[in-house]
Amino acid sequence: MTNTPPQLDPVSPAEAAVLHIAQRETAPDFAAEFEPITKGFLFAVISLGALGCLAACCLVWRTLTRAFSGGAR
Amino acid sequence: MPPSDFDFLIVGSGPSGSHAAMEAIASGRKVALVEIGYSNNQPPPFDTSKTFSEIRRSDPNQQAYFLGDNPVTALRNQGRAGPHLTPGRQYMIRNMDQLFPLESDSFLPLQSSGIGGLGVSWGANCFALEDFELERIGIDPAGMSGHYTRAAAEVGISGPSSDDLSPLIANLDRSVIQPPLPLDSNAESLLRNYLAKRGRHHANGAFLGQSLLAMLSQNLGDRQANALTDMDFWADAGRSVYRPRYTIEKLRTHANFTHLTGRLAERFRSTPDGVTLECRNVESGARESFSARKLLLAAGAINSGRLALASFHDYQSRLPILCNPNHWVAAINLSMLGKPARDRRHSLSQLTVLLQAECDGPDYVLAQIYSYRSLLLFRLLKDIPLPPKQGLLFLRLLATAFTCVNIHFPDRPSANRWIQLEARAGGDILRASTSYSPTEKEWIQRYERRMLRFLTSLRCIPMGVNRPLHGASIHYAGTLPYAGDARPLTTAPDGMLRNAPNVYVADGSSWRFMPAKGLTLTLMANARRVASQAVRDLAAEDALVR
Repeated sequence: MTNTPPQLDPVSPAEAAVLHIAQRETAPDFAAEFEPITKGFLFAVISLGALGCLAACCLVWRTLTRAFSGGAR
Repeated sequence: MPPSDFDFLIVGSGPSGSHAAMEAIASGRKVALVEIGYSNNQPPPFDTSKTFSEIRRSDPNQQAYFLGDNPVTALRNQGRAGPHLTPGRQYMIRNMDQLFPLESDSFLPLQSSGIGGLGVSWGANCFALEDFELERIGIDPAGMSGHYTRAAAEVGISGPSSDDLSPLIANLDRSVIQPPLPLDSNAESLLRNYLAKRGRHHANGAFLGQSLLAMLSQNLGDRQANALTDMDFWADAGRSVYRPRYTIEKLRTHANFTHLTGRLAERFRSTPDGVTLECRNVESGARESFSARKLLLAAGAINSGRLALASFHDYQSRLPILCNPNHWVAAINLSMLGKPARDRRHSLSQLTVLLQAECDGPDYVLAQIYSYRSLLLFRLLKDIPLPPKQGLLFLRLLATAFTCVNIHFPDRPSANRWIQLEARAGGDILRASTSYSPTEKEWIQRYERRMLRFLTSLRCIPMGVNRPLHGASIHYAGTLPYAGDARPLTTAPDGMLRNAPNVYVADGSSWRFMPAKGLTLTLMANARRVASQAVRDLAAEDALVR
């Protein structure tokens, strides 16, 4: 490994999705979409709880698909 | 003996080189500073009167400086160099691989070719070390306070006049410390939670206080007080945060100072009469030599080590390398969840934690607390196990409570951590290897757990810990350590490199211990100490001739 990681790899779908958001985040027209949501502690806890459940499902789904795609090879 | 080109030659313009040069120039001698010296002389590319949120809402050109020309590279490099190496600061690593080739599968340091060295992206945290820490490094504490004061006066430091941390990090002449900048909403609530159980934290050996920063709260010369626009990662607006290049600019106004940029120092030859430095002109490839009566190595621990090995044609020895292991903690401050935060703030470290530790005597583990905001949300998205849209919602809900904690652990020399010069067909290359023993890893894990427990006690809940590859702390030292005996490739107590008359080690290469507390202010003070020793030695030689 040298000092700097190689930069020649093609952009992955995950990177492309993040870059799309980066471009949107740095455009004034979409500034409101990136503002902090500050509607109080209870609202934050309930919303984060729901997103946390979704994240857990995503993790399980990813693990399963990875396991099955690995098995297929 | 032919006359030398200069009295002092200094290699490197970082925190050590710039301050060593300041001390040498004050003696009235002819001084030259050799470096690559890439720079970005562009003024801040945004309206410096506007805050981060105002800029986000109004500037149609913000992509140019927030994302740069190559956002893919920026995104991939952030794990390596840290997200704070923003597009406007990337010049400091230009041609890094070609200029300072290093090969390793376990150590990934950052090396700078920019004017001001690694100080280009310095986090500006300042620490004056305690006597026991200086002694462990190999520096005699007597007389250091004067050098600390001169370095601090040049840098411009702001911080609290007295809090729980002051006796541990700010043992400085109070007249050189400006009043503190206001804390942001997140840090204010954490400090409040700490003070509510202060006695209990002290009993557990945990201390929290406002960070001492090389960031102005009052105007100083042509530099301005920080405008609290939260744009400090993107440009040096008003020069509020100190960068070593400001000192280099001052030096350039002196008639007896020569700035030799575009040169890579490759070897020195030293004799009892003086030193010759062989350089490569990085543009033309031409070899050039400069002579001086004294040479001060200040190219940073890795490159000063490389220069010493190349000069002695030593391809066998392994030099030790010190580097703080550092871990990043993502945490949520429950006291701020769902609450708005003040828009006016600075972007750098708000609070500092010191945990008392024990390892061959008293020691510390340190953490810097940041409130994540102006580095943009998209950088965090890839680490969140949600689709982008839901991930963004998640981050917006956490935005004002999101806290980044950078934990630094001390480092000691070990046979398992080294650099070595290797001759290759295309030129010399450094090889490096770093690993930690099970006992060392267990020590680090134990104190990481203690730090996480401390954060939890402040109602700041750790969500995850990122442990980057070794080298990411950007703190390097110890390649030519102080030694009482006369071993080669070590530094004598007077700062002179062994077997190299007239060559002084002015950077952290000479340290035989790396404290968890940030090293930069001590590098500056130590460089001044070594340079003043070299000035005294030169004066003594002249007196002898007369």
